[in-house]
Amino acid sequence: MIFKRYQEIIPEFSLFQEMIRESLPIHIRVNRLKVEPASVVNSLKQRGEHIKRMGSRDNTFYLASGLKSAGNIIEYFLGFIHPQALTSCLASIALSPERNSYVLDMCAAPGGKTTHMAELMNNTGVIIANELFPNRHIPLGHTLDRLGTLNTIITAYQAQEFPLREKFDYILADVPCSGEGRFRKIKESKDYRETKQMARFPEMQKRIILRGFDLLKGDGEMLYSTCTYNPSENESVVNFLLQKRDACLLPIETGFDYQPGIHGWRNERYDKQLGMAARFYPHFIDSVGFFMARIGKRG
Amino acid sequence: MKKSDLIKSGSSLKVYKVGLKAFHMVSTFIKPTGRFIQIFGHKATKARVAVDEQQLSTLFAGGAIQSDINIKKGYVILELKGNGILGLGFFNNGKIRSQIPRKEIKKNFV
Repeated sequence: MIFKRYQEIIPEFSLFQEMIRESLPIHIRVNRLKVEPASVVNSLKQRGEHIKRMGSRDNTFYLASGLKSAGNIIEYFLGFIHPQALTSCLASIALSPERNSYVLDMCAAPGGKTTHMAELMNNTGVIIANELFPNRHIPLGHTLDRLGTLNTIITAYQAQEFPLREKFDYILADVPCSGEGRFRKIKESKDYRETKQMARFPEMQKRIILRGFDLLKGDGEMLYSTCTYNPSENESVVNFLLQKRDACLLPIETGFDYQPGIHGWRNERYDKQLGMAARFYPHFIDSVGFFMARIGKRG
Repeated sequence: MKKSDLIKSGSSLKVYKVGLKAFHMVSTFIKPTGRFIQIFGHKATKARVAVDEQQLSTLFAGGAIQSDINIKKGYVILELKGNGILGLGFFNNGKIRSQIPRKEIKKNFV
């Protein structure tokens, strides 16, 4: 049994085990920078595709259960849609950057969340889309261009060493992680296994979250997110920030149900505020497993 | 956007790419990029050609379609009827050929 070590923290664990063996559904996000959702939905339905709206708050997320490859349809080429896991879309919703704001996406590739934030900002303000690895700049640039994102600057710093010269209104720290929540997606190509690299993630994540917080304006907000169940990469990292800085957790509203963050794992106890963090599990939301914490400055 | 304070802030960083590339030079022509045209092409008042799915199939297959558009020679904006701007074509001697990169065209577009 994989993820057995999480048996005590994941509710309805047997359902969870069943769900991660099912294939991941295809979700698409409609890009309102280029098209109205109703227009795309009607067009796809006319071609016989089964499209189901996800959630009541936003009309841009859809389950496209019959779509074999969303990247091969003309709506993709035109930048009308972007295939993106539902929980991944919710990160931008949880942060909800306002129009004309100054935003930093610390680990931007492949660009799904960056373009979503640009859409929420209606292409106003500026988003710094930072991505260290040059080989990821090309696909990132393609995604930004295809979706008609105009307000973005790509930089190539190590996230944990991003220059402190500027302060931002909003920061998205969707950090590199062990990717356990994507297990459904990758299981066909390789079996999940713990690697030495996974053990190194928390240290890097702690450095990134500290730098992100230090880059925030006084009234700024940061969203820390991962696609893993591992508390050592989630609550433990946020708890580290709460210990080191005057940070506080803010409520998360996405319009979708989630489980609260946990208060302890193995021998570690976490700040009570971690209950305001959000854990998204595949057996409740039928998407990639996800964690997010919305962070502000105290006082 | 160019004059905004936010852009001035961003200029202090080591930048790889800014915004969306709008034009580049091809021989003596100033050629708009396909992605730029997809966003701003609807604002053009001339050199726009609406194609149907059959014409699109011809263009995607590398063929040419006849057009009586009232321009001499140069780039035209290809629009799929009811589906927005596709990108660029090139008009010469009464015919239009697609300028949309082949690698981006998938067989089930039409």
